[in-house]
Amino acid sequence: MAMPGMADAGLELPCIRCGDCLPACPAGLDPQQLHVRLRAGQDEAAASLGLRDCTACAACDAACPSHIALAKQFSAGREALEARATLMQQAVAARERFEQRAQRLARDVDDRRQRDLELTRQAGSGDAVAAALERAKARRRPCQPE
Amino acid sequence: MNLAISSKPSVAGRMTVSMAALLPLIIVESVVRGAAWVIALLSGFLLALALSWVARRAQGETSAPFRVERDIAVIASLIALLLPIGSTWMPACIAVAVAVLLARGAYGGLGQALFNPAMAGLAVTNLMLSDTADPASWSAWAAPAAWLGGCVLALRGIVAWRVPLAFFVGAAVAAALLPPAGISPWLAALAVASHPAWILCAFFIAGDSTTGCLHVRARLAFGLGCGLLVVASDRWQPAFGLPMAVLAMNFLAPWLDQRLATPLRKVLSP
Repeated sequence: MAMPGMADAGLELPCIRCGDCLPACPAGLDPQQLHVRLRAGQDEAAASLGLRDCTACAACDAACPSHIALAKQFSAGREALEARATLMQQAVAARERFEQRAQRLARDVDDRRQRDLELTRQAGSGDAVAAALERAKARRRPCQPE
Repeated sequence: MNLAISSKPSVAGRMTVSMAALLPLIIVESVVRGAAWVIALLSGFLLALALSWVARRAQGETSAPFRVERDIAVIASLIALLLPIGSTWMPACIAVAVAVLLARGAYGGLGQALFNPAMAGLAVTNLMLSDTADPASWSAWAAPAAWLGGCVLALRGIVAWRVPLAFFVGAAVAAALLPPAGISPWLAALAVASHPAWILCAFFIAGDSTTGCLHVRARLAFGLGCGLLVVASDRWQPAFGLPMAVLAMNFLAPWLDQRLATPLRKVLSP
């Protein structure tokens, strides 16, 4: 027969919701709910329960009769959250760069189109033709003696 | 406040202590109820052991039987103790099969059950025996033996003391409001503490953390609700009342935990 407190040390068992981890947490977190959320892959839900406030003091580990490595799980969850946050920042920055580049290219295209339109308009107007003809006549006209 | 007199045991240790706490009652009842009851108890226990082993093998777990899942012994014992009068080994085995395979195994085994497995098994058996079911009969020594076991659980910190306390308050209120014929309300309220089935329910069933509540206020509400419902339903249908009341409160437990969670984090944060 196993002695209480010593039995199956190192063998992690399922959580039995005894609630011993609740008063053990100095940060006032709910380690049982954090454990459930992280096991279910609900990192954001765990974050909303205060996962980032966990100090990894492992007081919950000591209180857990199921020998669940809660502090390790919370650290891994926090690291996953931070890694995801970094990835999100990089993704947001990349998207901003992409959007700025797309705007710049669109602006360049617009500028070029405006310039071409201006040139075409200037070239196609009657005044421009008349002025060019006048200039040509002036060049051909002989110089008159004084 | 913590009533525990020493460091709290591990999960397997808790199950061992729970089983040991039930032993005085089992011994007393074995003497009074006779060989047929002992055979029903042993049949249920052996079947629970076998079904648990099969379920574990089916899940690919190869650890030795009864190494960690000692709660099945408590489940089988509670079923045998609370079975209706005159039940043979067959109802006990049916109740144990329902408890171990459906109420416990189908949810994932140890620590995963939504409903108390013993109560689920008893509810099914009581429904099957609805024509002839009478509540379990108890010997004169059953109540002191049940109190002894319950106090062991509370002092070892295996059961949160708030749950049995709230259970008895709720049961006393319900008993005072619905006293049996010819008994004064005050006497009916006091008699709650001498009913072995209700003592078992307060400590071993409502006190089960897996299917109960987690937070302090939710535990108080859970115990109170269990006590009220158990006594009220006992007045209506003595054989069905206890398991049905506990199953109803098990169903409400997650909601109670959600609504009455103590906001420790908000209190601590500036």
